[in-house]
Formats: sequence, structure tokens, C-alpha cells
Amino acid sequence: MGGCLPILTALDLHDSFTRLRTLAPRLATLPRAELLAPLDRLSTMWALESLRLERSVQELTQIFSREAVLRALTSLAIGMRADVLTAELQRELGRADLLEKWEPDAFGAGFVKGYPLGVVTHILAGNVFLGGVVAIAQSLLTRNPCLLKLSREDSGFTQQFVQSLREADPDGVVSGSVAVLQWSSEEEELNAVVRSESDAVVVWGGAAAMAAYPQAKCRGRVIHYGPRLGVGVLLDGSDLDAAIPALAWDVALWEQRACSSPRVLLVEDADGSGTLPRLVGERLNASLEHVRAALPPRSLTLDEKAEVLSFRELAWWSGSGVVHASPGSMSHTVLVVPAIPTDIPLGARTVLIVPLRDVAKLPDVLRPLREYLQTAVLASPPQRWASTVERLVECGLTQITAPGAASARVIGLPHEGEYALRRLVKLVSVDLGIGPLTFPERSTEAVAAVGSQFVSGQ
Amino acid sequence: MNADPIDLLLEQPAFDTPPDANFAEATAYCVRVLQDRFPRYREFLDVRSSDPIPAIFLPILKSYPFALPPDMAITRTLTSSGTTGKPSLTPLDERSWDYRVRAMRQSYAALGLLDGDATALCFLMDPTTTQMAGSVVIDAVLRSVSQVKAVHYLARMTPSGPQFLAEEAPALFTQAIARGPVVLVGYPALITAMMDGMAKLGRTSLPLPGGSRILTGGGWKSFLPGLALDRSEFRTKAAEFFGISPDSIRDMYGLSECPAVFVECEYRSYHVPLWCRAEAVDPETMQPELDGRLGLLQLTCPLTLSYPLVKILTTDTAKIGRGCACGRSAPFIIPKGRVTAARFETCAMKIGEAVRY
Repeated sequence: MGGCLPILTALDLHDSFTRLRTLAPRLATLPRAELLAPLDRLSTMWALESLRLERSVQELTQIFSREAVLRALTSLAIGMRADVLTAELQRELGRADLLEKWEPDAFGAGFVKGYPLGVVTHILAGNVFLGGVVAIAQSLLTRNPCLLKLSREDSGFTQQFVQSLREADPDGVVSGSVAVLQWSSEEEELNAVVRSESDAVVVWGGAAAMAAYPQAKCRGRVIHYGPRLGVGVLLDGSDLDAAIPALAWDVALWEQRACSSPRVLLVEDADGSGTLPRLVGERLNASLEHVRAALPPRSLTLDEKAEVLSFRELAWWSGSGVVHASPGSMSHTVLVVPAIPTDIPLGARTVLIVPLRDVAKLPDVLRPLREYLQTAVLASPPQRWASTVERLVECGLTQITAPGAASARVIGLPHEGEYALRRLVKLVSVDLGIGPLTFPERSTEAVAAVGSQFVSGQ
Repeated sequence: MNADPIDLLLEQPAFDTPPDANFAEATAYCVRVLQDRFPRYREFLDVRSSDPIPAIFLPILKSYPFALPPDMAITRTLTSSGTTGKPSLTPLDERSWDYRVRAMRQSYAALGLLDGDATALCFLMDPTTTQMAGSVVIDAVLRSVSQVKAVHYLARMTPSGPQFLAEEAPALFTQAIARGPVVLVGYPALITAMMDGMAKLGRTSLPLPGGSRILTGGGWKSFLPGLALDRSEFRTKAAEFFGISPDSIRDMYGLSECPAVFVECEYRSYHVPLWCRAEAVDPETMQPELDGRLGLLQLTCPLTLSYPLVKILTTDTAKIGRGCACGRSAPFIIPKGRVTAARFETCAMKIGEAVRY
């Protein structure tokens, strides 16, 4: 049985892996309906107006706005429905029964089935509170028992969710396959256990977290998600009345702390006059002021305020930037700057607006940041969307969204260029042989006998 | 009547009730001089005209220093220790230098730190090897008072970094002790290192003559690698080692950019001398917090005419207190550390930092 264990020693962590590993065969062979049923029950348990949801909303609004939390939890409730999860399996894995059945090829000689990787450890980031839920869903759907290392900034929601999973699955095959733990990233002895015991390590977070789990030092597969820089591109001719309030929503929803948050907004400035970037700066400032009603900003710490002040002051003293902000408030900051600076602010609803002379030059403009790019919010006249998407793909971006949709999708689309579930599955093939390179004297009867086992035996 | 409003200010008792009119006059004078000397500062005041005297956010000066007027004669350029990053530079003309030395001397004297003859043994870099404010200004103060009979340094700056003069120390101590009371001045980390070094050699105490005292400053957290000091523990340890009363050990707090130094009173309060105003400010509103509430330390001190440091917003966090049990009416600073660039465990990449604090 998994659970929220106070980790004190490397031995405790080894024990957690052992417990999860013993459950792995049962999870791997659980009928799909039994796998999805507890998750489906979660969908009801986290429905709007449930006491559970209200309690979490109240706790999470210490960190995020109530509206953002409510919408995220609504998304969670929808995302846990069995029909949605089945569709997810179908889409990401190609067939919903990939981990249940061998599928023959057209000749009846080759068979393919997916298998779980084993125990998967997720090193979670603390910026978006649904991160733990996404990690759990990805692991369970691919039938991998999972161990979650919470961030020190964790909101507490991951444990609340796991508790609800235990209530939804009192028999414990599914819920027991999840262990939630927390330790300091500086406890290298425990990190070493993760590296040596995990069949896969998924790292969500900053550069330090990535560095702690390099592929070369890990026994299993390593999947790095992050760190990322979200960008936006706004082209001349866009409907500003529609685009800018939506962009403000993207900026405010996760306080500019999500990997998809548009922290640098490139605004087309073909004639070099700076007119449109200035206008967008002014209007985005107004929209960010307006969006406070729906998404009230959280209070900043003294450290954060000092950082915002430093960016604002630097813009003035360097003479390179124009600051748009509400007087006497640090709820948001829009900085119009001539070029992408070396230092890019994180959090506090801070946006850099940078003029873009030529859309064709986007790959050059974004080249220094290529390794960090993931999501681009695109505001464009409809007829320029397709061509601009091609430019953004050249830049290395893998997710292009409409304004207001930067963080809309939790599951259902590829993440960082791949379907996440596929990365947690190993495909196994059985080849009985076909074609000119096959041993010519093999027994076709034997082939048929073996092949029938894979077709009928499942 | 003295024509120089700053002179007038410095003639007042350091910790009496602040005469606001004198301070305001001195500040206005300082601002006028700075406006004349620094066009960029004048522009800054114009842009921030909603605030009578806007504060300069201190880290900015490291990236964007003011150009000095070509006709201004700089006597000394003080540096910060640089233990938390790039050292800052404070150019001083003769008047500003003189004000600074007088201000520090006044603060020391008002707290009785210069009472009685003594030999000063400084756990500071020899000022002939550095321009660090902590060394240079203290040296000038010590040498300007007749009570201090001699000043010796136990450390110096070398091209490879600070060097403690371990071999010279025993003889310097012996000679100083033979002459009478001793004042140990300097980094507590260096004093601790010496005590620890002697303890390893089997010497667990070095009693100083009656009337001796210790005056520490800076270097509590990061002066020596791996050595973080607790003030209270240091006081206990040093009092025992040197055989003096814990009340004879005082700490001082300050920044190289600010001419005012804040020295502990008998009740461990860092009082603000009347030529300075200290506020804990909310950087979001730039308004002072109420007494006892945490903010960024903002210092207004009109003693520097050679660089626009009249009002600075620092990256130190502090609270302001009043009503010290010592009876001095001057408010006091309760230092609480320093802000750090915000760190997030997030999948969003933090790229660079606008300001290296």
C-alpha cells in the first residue's frame, strides 16, 4: 500500500519502492474498467459545489485566485471521467487496449503490446497545483505505480487528491499504487535511491531538478519537462479587442509561473515605428488591471516585491524600457523593451513586450532561447495563422495556442512534442517472421500455432 | 549661525530627539548640491516628482553608476565588502569624507565607545591595502581621537584575497595588553577564527585589561566560507575568552553607501543618529511600514554631497523600533537580513536576475 509516508531514511524510501513494485503486476493486469472506475468516481467527488472542492478552493486561494482554482478543479473533474480517460488512451496510445491486448499486423506474423515501465517517480514542481494530479493520471493510465516527490512549494492539493483516491478505491489496487513523499532536494542520499530504484523518472521543474536526475546517472528512463519559457506573438491586423483581454487572462491565470505562461510577447512592428508594441503595452496594462476582478492577484512577498521593483527600476535607469503598471501596485507589470533582454522576469504577472520587425525572422529572434521554448500564444488574423505556426515550429515551439488558451488544456494534447503516455510505455513485439530475410525452412504450422495464442489467448 | 546646514546637524547630540527643521534644511541643501552636480539625478527627481525626495534603489547603482562631474575632486572612493556580490563604489569629496568621519565619531562617542585611553587592534583589512569603507572610515575615526593611543591591523587585503596576520597577532596582543585597555574592532568572523585558532593550540582565554571592549561589524553570515555566526553565541564566547563583560561587546551595522553608522546601545538596539532617517518601506507602495513591521530599509542621510546617496532604498530587510529601554529617544533599526532574488520550483524557466543583490 502506498501512502503519504514521512521519509526519514534511504531505507524508508527503498521500502516504498518495494511496496510499489509488489503491486505492479496487479496494476498491470487490472481490467480497464476496474482501473478507470475509481478515477471516474473522483470525477463525481470533485464536482462543482462538492464540499471537498470548496474546502480545497479555500486552501488554494491562498496561492491562486479563486476563479483559477475553480476552473482548474472543474477541468480535473471532467478529466477524470472514464469516457474522457478512455478517449485519452485511444488518442495518445493509438488504441485504448494497447496495454491489454496483443495486436497482430496485417500478416498475422507480428504482434505488438504495450507494457508499463515499472515504478515511475515524478519529481514535481510547485507552481501549478494540478501537476501532481496529471502525474498520477499519466502513471495510472499506463499502469505504472508511481512515487511522487512533492515540491517544497506544494500547495497540499496533491495529498488531498490522493486522499480522495483512497476513498474512491478502498480496496487499494489503484490508490495503493500511488505514494506521495516529500524530502529536501538537497538530501542526495534519497535522490540517489530514486535514481537507482526508479524504472522511470519524470522531472517537472527547474534547472536544478533536471540536473539532479540526468539520464547518465539514472537506471531507468528519464523524462525532463522544463524549465520553459512561454512566449506570445501578436501580429498586425489582430483583433486587439478580443486578443488583449484574452492574453491578460493567460498572464493572470497562473501568475506567470506556468511553463505555458506568455512572459515575452513579441508584437509585430514591420515599420519599426513601435506604434503597435506601445499600443499593446498600454492596452495589456489596462486589461491586466481589469482581469483583477476575475482573477485577483495574490500578495507578493517582500523578496518578490524587491524583484519587481528591480525590473521596473532597471527599465528606467537603463533607458531601455517603458513600464506600464498600476500606480502604487505590483499586481502586474508590462515592460515595453526594444529587444529580448538577458534577464526575463518570472511571476508577478510580469510581461515583456518586444517589437518584432519581421515574422520571418522569428527563428533568429528566439534562437538564444530555443532550448527553453514550449508554448506560444498566437494572436493573428485568421489568414496568417498557418504560416505563422510554421515559423513558430521552426523556432522550436511545440504548443501553439490562441490567446486565452495558454493553460486551457491539462490533458488530451501532446506535451513538449510527444504524447506523454507513450513515453511511459514500452512497446513489446513478437515477430514470427515474414519476408525474404526469414529463415526459409521454418514451419508455417508452428507459426500459426504460436500466432493463434496471441489472438485467442487474450 | 553656521552657514553649512550639515555642520549644524552634526553639532547636535547624536541620539537626541531629532530636530526636524535642521534635518530638512540639511537634506534640501544636499539635494540641491546633488542636482547641480548630477544631471541624471536631476532628471530622476523630475520624473519622480510625486515624491519630494525619491529613493534610489541601491542595486541599480551597481549597474548604472552616475558619471562624476569632471571638476569634482574625489578624495576617496570607498567600496563595500562585496561579500554578497559586486562591491559598490562610493566616491567622496573632502567635505563628504569629513562629514562621514565626524558622523561615525559622534555616534561612537555618544555611546561611550571612545571613553578612556586604549590601543585599537583591528580585525579589519589594513586600510593601506583596501578602500573598504569598514576599514578606511574606522581607521580615520580611531586616529582622530586622542584616547586611541595606537592602531594596529591584524588582516590585510592581498591580490589573492583577505589575509589574517596570524604570526603577528600574538606579539601585537602582548604589546597592547601591556599598555592597558584594548579595543578590538572588526569582523566577528575574524575574531572567532582567532579564538578558535588559539583554542586549537590549547589556549582557551586571553584576558584583556579592565576597560577593554569589542566593537564588531559585518561578516555575520558570509564573511568566511562555511562560517555563520550567531550574535548571542559570539558575545558569550568572546566575553569568556577575553575576560570582559558581555556589555562591553557592541555591534555596529551600516552600509558603505550610507555615512551614518548604527551602533548597538547597552540594550542591543541599533539607534539611528539624528543626521539620518531610517524607514522600513513597502517596495510596492514605497510607503513606510508601521513601527515593528518588516520592510526594505530606506535611509535618508544628507552627508554625501559627492554622489546621489541622500536617500537610498536598500535590499536589507528591517523593522523600525522606538522606545528603547536605554532611554535614548532616537528610533532604532532591527535588521532582519536581506532580500534574495525570488526562487521558484517551477517548470517556468527563471532566466537571469534583473539585479544581483
